[in-house]
Amino acid sequence: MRGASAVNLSMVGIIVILSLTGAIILWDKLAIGEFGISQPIVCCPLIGLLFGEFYIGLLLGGVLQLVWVGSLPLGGKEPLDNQGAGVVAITTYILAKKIVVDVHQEQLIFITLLFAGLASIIGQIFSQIMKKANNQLYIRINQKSSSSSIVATNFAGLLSSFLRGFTLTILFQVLLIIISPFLKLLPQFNFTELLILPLAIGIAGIAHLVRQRQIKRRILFSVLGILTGIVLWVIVKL
Amino acid sequence: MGYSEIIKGFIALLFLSSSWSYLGRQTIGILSTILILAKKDTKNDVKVDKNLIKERFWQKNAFNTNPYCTGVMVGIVLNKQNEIFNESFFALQHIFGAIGDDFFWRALRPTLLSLAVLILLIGYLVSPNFHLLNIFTLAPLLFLIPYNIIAQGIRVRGLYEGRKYGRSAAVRLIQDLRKPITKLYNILAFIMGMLIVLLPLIVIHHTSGHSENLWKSIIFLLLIILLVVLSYLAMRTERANSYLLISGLLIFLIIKVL
Repeated sequence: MRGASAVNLSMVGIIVILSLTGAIILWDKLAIGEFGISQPIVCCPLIGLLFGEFYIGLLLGGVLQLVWVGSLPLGGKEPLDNQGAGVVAITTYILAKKIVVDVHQEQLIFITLLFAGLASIIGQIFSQIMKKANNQLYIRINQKSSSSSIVATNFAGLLSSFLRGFTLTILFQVLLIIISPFLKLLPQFNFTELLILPLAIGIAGIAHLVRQRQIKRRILFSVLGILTGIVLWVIVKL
Repeated sequence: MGYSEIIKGFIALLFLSSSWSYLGRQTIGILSTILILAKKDTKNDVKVDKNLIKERFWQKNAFNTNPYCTGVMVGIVLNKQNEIFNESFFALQHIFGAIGDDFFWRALRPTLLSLAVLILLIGYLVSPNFHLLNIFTLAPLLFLIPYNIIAQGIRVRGLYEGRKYGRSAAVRLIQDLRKPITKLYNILAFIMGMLIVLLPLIVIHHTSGHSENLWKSIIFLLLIILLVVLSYLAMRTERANSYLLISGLLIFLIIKVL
């Protein structure tokens, strides 16, 4: 019994630490600086490095970055939460490695990719809720408010942003724990065939970008890129 | 404007979008930045009237612009407080919103992110074993470092020059942001071309163990890509990527189980 409770305590500890890390990284998206550390290609290897899964983080980051390469935050619209997807993917992978036994790496990657897809939509909804909640901050103050209360209100926004990131990350950690007994039932995947779909979506995203007016006009550069890619492939493979 | 004021202003600008809301957008953020800097920062000993600034921003509610370009607008207010009574000052938010979106979101960020993915792919081509630490694993830094030098540099430069030269700094910044956009689009189109050809080649290479499987793999892969691209283009929803990823993985799972 004592052993089991110790295991549960350490599991809760890991979940809290991972969710805190995720929430801090996701501050970058909406609250502090927009440095780009929450982009999947940065946050996945970064969180992976902190928890000893750098290479899988690099792989997940590269693949997930491609999936949402065509979705841009233009004109004030709320884009899909690719940053949340990256954080959820790597944190659930790290947790799964620690709590799930007798499951192959490919099966874990399958689940993390599925979670990333879901997290991108749920994260987008959470962002909209957070911005609606921030309306209350705006209503609370007015032109008669003191300077210090305006500054304090601005910093209060950090809390709603933190809660958004924390809830998103912990939600998928809990979901993973719920479904973890069933992960063994997943069929065996081949690593390469598992990556075909995200890469194909990446190509679709690129096709979508190329269709945009600005890139469409530069078809010559795209053709040049295609030729360079072929030459590079031949050089490397010969 | 001393170094300490620039650092203080830069840190305050980092929290510009902390309280972003549908009603007020960045109003609280920019006001709090100006109010933090207006404490001491006055030009020619002319005291900045905080109440006047608050009143004016409240009249013109829902301030919103590209976050990296706000520095120059804060600088302009600190240079000459009366600028906020000029309609063209508030028009700047729309100009910087449009040009900032074009420069940062449409050109710079996708270019550097795609470049990082491309370098990672080339690294994978050269050495498929990721566990062999090589220079290509540093690809994320290829995005992170140049992006921040440019984006955060524009924040600081805008603040400093806006404070020093007033509205002419905004005109200069607009010109400087507009110039490289065309070049960035050219580079992005080139990288996209490389990615379009390298991604399928890598998958084909790994799925075809023997030469007799090669054509099967190519046809299979091209079919998947065609199906995904057509579904993506037909969906006409912003969530197409996510729906495709989820549904594709589930279909893949069903096929595997059957």
